[in-house]
Amino acid sequence: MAAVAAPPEVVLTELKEVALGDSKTTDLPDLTCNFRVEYPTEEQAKIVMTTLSVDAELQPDKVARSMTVEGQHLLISFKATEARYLRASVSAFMDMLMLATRTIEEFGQLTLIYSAVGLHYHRCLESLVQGCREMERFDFREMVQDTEEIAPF
Amino acid sequence: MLALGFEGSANKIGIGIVKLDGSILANPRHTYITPPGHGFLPRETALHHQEHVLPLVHAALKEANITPDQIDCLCYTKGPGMGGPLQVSAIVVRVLSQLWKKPIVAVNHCVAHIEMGRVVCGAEDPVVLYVSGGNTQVIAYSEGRYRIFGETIDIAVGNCLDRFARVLKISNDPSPGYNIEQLAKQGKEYIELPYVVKGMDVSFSGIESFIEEVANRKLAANECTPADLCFSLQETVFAMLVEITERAMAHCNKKDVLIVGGVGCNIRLQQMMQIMCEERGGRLYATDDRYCVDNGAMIAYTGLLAFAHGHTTPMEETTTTQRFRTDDVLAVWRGTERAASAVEDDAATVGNGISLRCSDIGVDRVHASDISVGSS
Repeated sequence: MAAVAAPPEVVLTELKEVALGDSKTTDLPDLTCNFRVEYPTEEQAKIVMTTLSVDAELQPDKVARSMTVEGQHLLISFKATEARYLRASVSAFMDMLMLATRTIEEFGQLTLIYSAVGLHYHRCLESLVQGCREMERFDFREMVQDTEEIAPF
Repeated sequence: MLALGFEGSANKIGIGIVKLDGSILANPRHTYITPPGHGFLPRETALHHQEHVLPLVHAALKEANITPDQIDCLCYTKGPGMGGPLQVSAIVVRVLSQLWKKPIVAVNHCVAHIEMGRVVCGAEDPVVLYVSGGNTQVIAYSEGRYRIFGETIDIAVGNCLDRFARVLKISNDPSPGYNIEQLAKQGKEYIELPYVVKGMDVSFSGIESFIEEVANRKLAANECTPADLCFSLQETVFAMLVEITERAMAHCNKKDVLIVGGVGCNIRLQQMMQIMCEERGGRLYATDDRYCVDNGAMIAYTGLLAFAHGHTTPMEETTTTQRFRTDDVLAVWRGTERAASAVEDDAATVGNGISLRCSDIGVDRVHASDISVGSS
């Protein structure tokens, strides 16, 4: 959990940790994807957490998701048994995270004050989404090959 | 009282602002239109909704000329519908609820169609034919709920029409059903198709497969025109719908019919239903595409009815569900109507098929009266 907090005015989000299990073992590895999003206020981070907590993961036996708020930061953690489940869950989650954040930007009380900061959100969230997709694309290919070798479906 | 409603269960995202008397202050909508030959898929539709939902909220507030603090509750479609698109409305509603400190009301899409049709047409207690791209049901109110008397056992009638439009590569703009309707007007030759009514239920998937094969064969051989096919398909499936609606009317002893849902704005269906209603001494209530087709106002109005009777949905229950039966909803706002006519209705239904259904739902009846006592 030792991440270097970047200055908010430069980077609001960061890909904190991407740990990949050892796909060479016959046991299904636990893959994790953890990241944090910084909001202008703690209240906004909590609104997003409350909003996104309502919908459970579609396959709770394959993907686990947890969220906490630390100050202005929303900390999100994914754990999955296979890369393809991680990819699908993180990707779907990102869309909803973006939507909830945009809704706060457009209709929150702090819209005017933080409109400049809002622009940063978009850039950072988008780069985060892009980063996740690239990471997953790579892992996905590897995983599929490895899985087929060791344990054919 | 004012409600802001979000509808996004299929390929339309709509935001409506209504008053409790049913007057609509704003009802903007945006439709995801796919190229000819293609249907709308969940992921692409969800992305479309994500793009348009927030501008539509701004547009609705501006058109109604109100500020968020004037709104009493936020309503959204809980289901039935496609999971991804449904979730978009739910997410925005949850955020706005926390930002504006307003309660949320979850709404059943089918019930919303019925209530919108009733308030727009002034139909008090009709048999309802709900026909759209995702649903085909014959419904009547009884004992606190909208009961399904007949329905499709496979695909919806609108889905049958949509799929056939894809076979013919008919435009999806403004909707495939509308373009089939226009083409059908030029049809001259009736091509016989399977007529599939099973008791109170209907089936369309076999008809669709059949006409697809006929279309490929006869159009290639120049034995018929696309217009003839559209005409024949409409006549066949609408006749089936009129038949089961008439049977439900006889069953429930009701004289009036209300048609709701996207297919409900088809003029030919309305004509055929009109003839049947006149023969039975009843009235047909139908609306145009502003209210028939999915819209935000119908969700706002139905949610407001429930809200006015003390119902709200706690945040942790503001989920969506792809399957949500019309008769799962206790129509508490109709409780007072029931109290007046309940004794008569109960007496009238003894001795025919409905009495069995009434006895099946004894628990609900107790439940319904509990709630109406509590809220009065």
